[in-house]
Amino acid sequence: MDWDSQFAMFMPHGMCLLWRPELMSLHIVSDALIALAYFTIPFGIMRFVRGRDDLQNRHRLLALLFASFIALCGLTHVISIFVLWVPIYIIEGWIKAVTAAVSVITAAWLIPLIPQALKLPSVTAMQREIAAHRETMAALDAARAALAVKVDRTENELREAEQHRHQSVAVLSTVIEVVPGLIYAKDRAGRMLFANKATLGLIGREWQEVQGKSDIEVLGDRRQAETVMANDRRIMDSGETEELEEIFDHPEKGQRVYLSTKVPFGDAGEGIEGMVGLSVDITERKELDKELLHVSRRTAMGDMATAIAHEINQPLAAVTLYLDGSTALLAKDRYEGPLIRTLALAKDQCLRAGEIIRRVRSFVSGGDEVRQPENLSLLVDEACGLALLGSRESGVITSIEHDDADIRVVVDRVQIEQVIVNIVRNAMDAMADAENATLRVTTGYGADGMAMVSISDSGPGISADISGRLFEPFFSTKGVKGMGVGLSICRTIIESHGGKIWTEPNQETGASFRFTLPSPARESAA
Amino acid sequence: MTEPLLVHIVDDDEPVRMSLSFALEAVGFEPATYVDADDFLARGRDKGGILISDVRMPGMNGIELTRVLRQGGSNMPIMLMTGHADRELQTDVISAGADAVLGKPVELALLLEEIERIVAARA
Repeated sequence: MDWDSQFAMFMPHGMCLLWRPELMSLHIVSDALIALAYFTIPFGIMRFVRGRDDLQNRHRLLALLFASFIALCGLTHVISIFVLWVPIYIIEGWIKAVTAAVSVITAAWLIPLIPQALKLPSVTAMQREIAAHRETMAALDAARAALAVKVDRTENELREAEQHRHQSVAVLSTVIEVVPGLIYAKDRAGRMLFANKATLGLIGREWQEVQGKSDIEVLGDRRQAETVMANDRRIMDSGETEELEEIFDHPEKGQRVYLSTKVPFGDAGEGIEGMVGLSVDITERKELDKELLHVSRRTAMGDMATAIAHEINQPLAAVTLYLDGSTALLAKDRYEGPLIRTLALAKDQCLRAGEIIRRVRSFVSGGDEVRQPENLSLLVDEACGLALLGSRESGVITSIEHDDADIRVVVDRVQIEQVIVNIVRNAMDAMADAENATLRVTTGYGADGMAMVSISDSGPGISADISGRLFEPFFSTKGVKGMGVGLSICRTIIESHGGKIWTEPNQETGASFRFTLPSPARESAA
Repeated sequence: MTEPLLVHIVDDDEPVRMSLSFALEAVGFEPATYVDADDFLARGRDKGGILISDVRMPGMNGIELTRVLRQGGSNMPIMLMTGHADRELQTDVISAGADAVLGKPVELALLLEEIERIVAARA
């Protein structure tokens, strides 16, 4: 159909309005304003769509449809104005049809979206929710901050605890290292887990050489090591702490006695994992104990000697008087036979016994130190007599010689006798296994004009390495038998008298002990 | 012939007492024996003669006996005998008033010398 035919067939819509200007105007203005509004809205929609980048594609399409539908509606109103003059009703019809189609599609698309749209929260609700969300976020932030502080504090505490632990460990290791005792730990098989400096000093090795090794591998003396390992095994088997004495060879100090306290660790029975030990050197203490025992034995001996002296003196006194009385009776009867002599001999023996008791008692009881002038040769005779009591069977040939029988010394008789007895006894002990044992005691003057006593034996002599230590307290070559104090006391006594004591080897065999004492007679004579 | 000298012997130990008595009698003294100091004070103190007493005795000892006698004005010669005549004891004995102290065992000859000496000293 062409324009001409349309024009020919219909009449303009204005005719229906009778071309009345007021009615025409009303329609024109209204349609124009509607169209204007309808054309404006799509622009707004398009602007909205373009501005919201979060929209889904189908929502974008819906908005496009909506804009088209409104724009088409606007177009129908424009056409309505147009047909007032030009009767293009067919075109108008088709435009309306298109508009209708677009409208229906839009509506059809829109309806299912309504429930979704209803679900969309209102702005206030949204705002409320946002506020709540903000509060939650703030609370979360606060919590996070609090947590951070807490974490910080925990870290500090951990750091402090670690520092504290470090300090404790440092103190503990210092203590373990400076303690004079041996501290060590061993595993169930006796392998070294730990050893402090003192322990390593005893073993004489570095920790690297000792770690994980057993005693038998590190200790020089196999027997000592076996004993120690047996002790350790027993303690770990029983699970019981033990205190015991152990002997070790110290590289510098020689053989030492240790008091060891050993404590098993781990669960009792199968669970014992090892043991910790603390060993303290008690060598000196043991020597002192021995000396104490010696002193108390001596005190007891003194008491006993006094008691025995009294008990024996009484019968001796009686026998002496009976013998003397008998002699007197025989003399009265003018008897001159052999009984006089035998009675006298019997009496001499009684007096001798009495003298021995007197000497033993004054020697053992010691008494207060009293220095007075003494005849050195008599003093030496008496002391030797005492020292050699009961030694006649030993077969030792003894001789006592005095260069000068009248050497005067101012001394405590008992103390000097003690020195002589000590040295003579030592000499006798030294010659216990010697053949042709000879003891020679001489008195005279030394090169410096002091009175001198020499006591020589034919024993094995004194080796050079111990002769320097002979006069030290607790030094003994006699093992359990010796007290180790005799010679140190001798030195103290002689030096307190202003003299000197020393030893020298003999030319042939054995050793000589010599001591000097000031002699006032000789000094004044000089 | 002069009267034998009366010698009072005080000793708790019977063998000592009897041997002393035997020996002194053998050389011509007249011994009298007492088991302790009280015995002597009861029976012998006023009879004259001399006293030989042990030092260590149960009850009153020899030094105390000497003191008692001297405090009572006795001029009797007194000799004490002891098993252990140390210096301290000697001082005590002399200060108590005894004339001599002898250690046991003692020879009869020495005993006689001492008796002679103390008798002469108190004469």
